[in-house]
Amino acid sequence: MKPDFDPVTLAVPFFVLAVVLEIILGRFGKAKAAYEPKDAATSLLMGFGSTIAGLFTAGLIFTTSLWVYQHRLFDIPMTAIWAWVLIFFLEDLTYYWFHRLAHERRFWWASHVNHHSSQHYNLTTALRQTWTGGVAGTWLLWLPLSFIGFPPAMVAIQKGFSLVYQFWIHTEVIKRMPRWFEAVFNTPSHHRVHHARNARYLDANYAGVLIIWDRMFGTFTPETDEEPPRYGLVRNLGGFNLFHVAFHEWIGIGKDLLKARSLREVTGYLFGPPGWSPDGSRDTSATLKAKWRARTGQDG
Amino acid sequence: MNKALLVELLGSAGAVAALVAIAWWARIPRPTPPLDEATARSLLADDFPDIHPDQIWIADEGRGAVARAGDRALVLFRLGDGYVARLVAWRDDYVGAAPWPPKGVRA
Repeated sequence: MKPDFDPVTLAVPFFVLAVVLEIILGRFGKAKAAYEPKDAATSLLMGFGSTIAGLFTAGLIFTTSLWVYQHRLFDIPMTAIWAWVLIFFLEDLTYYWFHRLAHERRFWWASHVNHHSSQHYNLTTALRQTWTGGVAGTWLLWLPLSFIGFPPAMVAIQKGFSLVYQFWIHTEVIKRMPRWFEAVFNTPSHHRVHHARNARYLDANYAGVLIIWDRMFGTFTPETDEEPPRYGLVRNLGGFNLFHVAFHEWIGIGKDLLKARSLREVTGYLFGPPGWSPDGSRDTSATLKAKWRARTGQDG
Repeated sequence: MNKALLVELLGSAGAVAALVAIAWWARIPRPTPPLDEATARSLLADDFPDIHPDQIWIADEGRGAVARAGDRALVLFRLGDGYVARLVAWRDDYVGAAPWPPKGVRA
């Protein structure tokens, strides 16, 4: 159920060559790149599994998008340049809110957490993709684009471009891009912050291609040399088991729901921020950041 | 399953195997020398900045550590070229335990 022109499939050889190049630069000391074979294997196999998992929901997503498009408000031609410019901005804005939701609400975090579970930050981390995104239903957020009148194939292609863009920013090889580029686009530096588990960096830099959304909506945090990012989860996983990586947060939700004693608790465990608990005994990103601010006196 | 998809999946599987082999060949993990007390304290402080342990014991020939803070244990164990930290209830048999980490701590 992919469009005939699929940027992600076409980019796979580039992904492979870029990973090889990053490893070789690291091997010969020409750039900062660390690889742990088990970690890299986990990331790559999560990516492979994500492709297979996607096959199970592709039909539903395609059919739903087509149905919505049949009830569209406008006819937007796929051949018009203005339409591509417009969808670039609208798709990227959609991605920002999808990504923010995927971090700030536990139900969607459960499907996204695996992408953040590596303690490394290299190009294989980009490929550590979800197996449960289709089930979590985040694809629904893109349906308004088809309702406006963008053909589903156009939406899928633009999503593909965005994913391909986001591959190269998962690296420590590039320290900073030119200042004008850092101001407008998502870059390795901005995205390192996004993958960091340091309290000061939590829940920041949700951008896909354009970092302007984070600047507009108050979620931008710059990378500082005084505190290098430490990668992974606030509570890192204790192994490399693929199924644990893919499903651990879903299992955590299930266990919490079994203990829930009221509708408020059910709602909180499902849709509260990750770490929410009825008595506040667990940490959320917000409490961790508040403690960090109290400890350091810094504002972040 | 159509042929193009099969080729794509087989190609991806081959690429995964090749990339893992190259990563293994390159041998560029982060350096992880055996832990000493200062390093263990620093790593635990990253995860538990508000807990200040009284005592710390190096475990598993420098691949782990356990610290005591009242009735709580702060446990460190190696995973690949990194460390994972856990906060659990203190048990006296954590000191000198083998294998490391003690049973039930990793999850």
